[in-house]
Amino acid sequence: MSGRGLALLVSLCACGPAALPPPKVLSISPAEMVACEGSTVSVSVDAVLPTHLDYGQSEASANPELFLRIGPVPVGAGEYSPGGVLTASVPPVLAPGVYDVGLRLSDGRPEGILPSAFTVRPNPYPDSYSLDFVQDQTRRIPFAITIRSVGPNESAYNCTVSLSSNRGSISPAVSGAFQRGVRTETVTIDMANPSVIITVRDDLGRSGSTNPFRVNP
Amino acid sequence: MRRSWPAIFLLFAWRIAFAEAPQVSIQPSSVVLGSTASVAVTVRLPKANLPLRSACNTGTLIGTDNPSELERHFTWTPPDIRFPMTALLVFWVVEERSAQPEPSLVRIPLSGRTTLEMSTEPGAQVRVEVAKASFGPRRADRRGRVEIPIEVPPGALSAQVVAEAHGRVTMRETPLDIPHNSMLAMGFSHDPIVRGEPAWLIVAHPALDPQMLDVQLIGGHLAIERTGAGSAVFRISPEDTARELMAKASFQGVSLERAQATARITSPGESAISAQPRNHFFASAMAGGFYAGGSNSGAAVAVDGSYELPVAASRLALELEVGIRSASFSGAVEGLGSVHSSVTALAIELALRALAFERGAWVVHGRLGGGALPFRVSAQSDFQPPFTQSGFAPEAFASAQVGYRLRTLELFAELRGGIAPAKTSTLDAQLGGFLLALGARYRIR
Repeated sequence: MSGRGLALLVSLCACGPAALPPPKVLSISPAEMVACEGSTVSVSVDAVLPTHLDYGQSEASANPELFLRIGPVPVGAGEYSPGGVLTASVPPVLAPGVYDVGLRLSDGRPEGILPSAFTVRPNPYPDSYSLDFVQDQTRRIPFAITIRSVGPNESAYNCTVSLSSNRGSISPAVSGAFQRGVRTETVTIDMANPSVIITVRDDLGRSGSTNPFRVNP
Repeated sequence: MRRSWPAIFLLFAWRIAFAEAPQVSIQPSSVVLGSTASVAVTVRLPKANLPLRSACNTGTLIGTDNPSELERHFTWTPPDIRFPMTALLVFWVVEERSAQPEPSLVRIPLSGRTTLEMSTEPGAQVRVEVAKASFGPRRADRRGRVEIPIEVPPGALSAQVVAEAHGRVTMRETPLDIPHNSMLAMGFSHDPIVRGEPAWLIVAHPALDPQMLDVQLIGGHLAIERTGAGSAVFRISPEDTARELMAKASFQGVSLERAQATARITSPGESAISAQPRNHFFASAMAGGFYAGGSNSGAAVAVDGSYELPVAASRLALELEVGIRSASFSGAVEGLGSVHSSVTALAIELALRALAFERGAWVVHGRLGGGALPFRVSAQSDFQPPFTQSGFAPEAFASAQVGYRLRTLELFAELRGGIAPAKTSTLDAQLGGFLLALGARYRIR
């Protein structure tokens, strides 16, 4: 056998990669969502799972665990789906911006990243907020307040606002998501006071306040 | 051309170089025809690795093995006859072209068995004496018939029958009808004979009488140089146009004592080629399969080049082997689907081959070796993209080859045991295990 033929044979047998390829994120659909709304996305990946071929036992196995993220937020079920199309719910926690989509397998291979693949669009903010009249309340007894966005985009606002009180502390400190510009939140004041005012404020600093009301001991 | 040697001794006055005679021993020292299958012959050379030549007047002499640089083994098989004679084996070494060969002779008495049928007095006790050996006694039947099996050594021409009946002893000599077989053995010192270089004809007979010896050489001239105990050495010179020499020897007046030998004649140029030491290179190819448990099994093919080392009577050889092995496996992956994978390896190995046994055309070799198997594993599945990985598997092995020689070709079967773990992050395989292959090995001319 000539040296050239031998070299060809060696290359045929030994010149493949020694390690498995890192995973790749091929696409994400849809590729954007509105802040505070959340979304369900399909992520197409090219990934060879950590596979073990045991010829002695005539057995094959593969570890389907994986870690999928959008920006800093983990998404998905944490397992590979045959065919490489992963479905994931994106929680409404991402601020407006552009995010990478990353995929990491359980065997420590380098993360596959599809850069700037997912966009979170900002929610249309209202001009201000109005709160319905609040009766006198009792300390540490929950009561409901209704917050309404005011302005041209009042019915499109679906984000949250922060809550504060001028006397004592209020719980929770952040409201739940608005529904078409309206949010009814159950709150608690921990201190008795004859004149308490609750103030709400969004990310842009636009705010609204309740009427003064008494919190009895 | 045909020349007759007229029994004239030409004695050379100048100094003659003599080769030393080899020492020959046999076991057993005699043969009973029909019951002794063969005789083991051991020849001890005066110097290591000298070319050894031989001739015999009957039977078959076959070299079996070379246990050391100084020793050669032969097996002599008796002829398919039943009458007694003496086998004569002649050995000589070719020490150098100008050295006159010194033959060593060994005689093997071949005894024949026969049954004597005789008639004597009814009830007589009968025994037979042949060459001082006694057979019987046996009692004659009522009709006076008796049969006695006897063994007849070479040279015995009659048997003495002794019968005893009624206190009387009668003795009678019975001639044994034994066919005569030639005991002349003859051979040329070299074959081929190189034109212009010294060469000899060796003639041997247990009772050689140079005065009675008649030697004819066709294709050349001869002159006696020396006679010894049972042998005569003639210097020969081929004629210019002859391509072959044929010698015929006989005893004057004894037509049954005959021998014949031939040798090719080459020119010095041809001799340079033919006189070259035999080539030490071999090539072989084999194909078979291996099994190491589970799915560690598949086909194995290899080609091999080897060099016979000029040590230990050429019993050792270094080998480079290049082969391919493959295995495959299909299985289900829980919760995901199925996968099919295959492993292909290129085996590059060095080995030391040792001749362990040699008898006639049969040989047994042992091999110890190791090397590297660059391999590639590939996998296709219905749930993820296909992938390949490569790696190197070390291998160590030991094997035995049983071969049958056909001239320069040797057909063999090999059984090999080895370890060759092939591992990557995805693969756990064994490419060693047991390997059984059939192949052919060829001495490159």
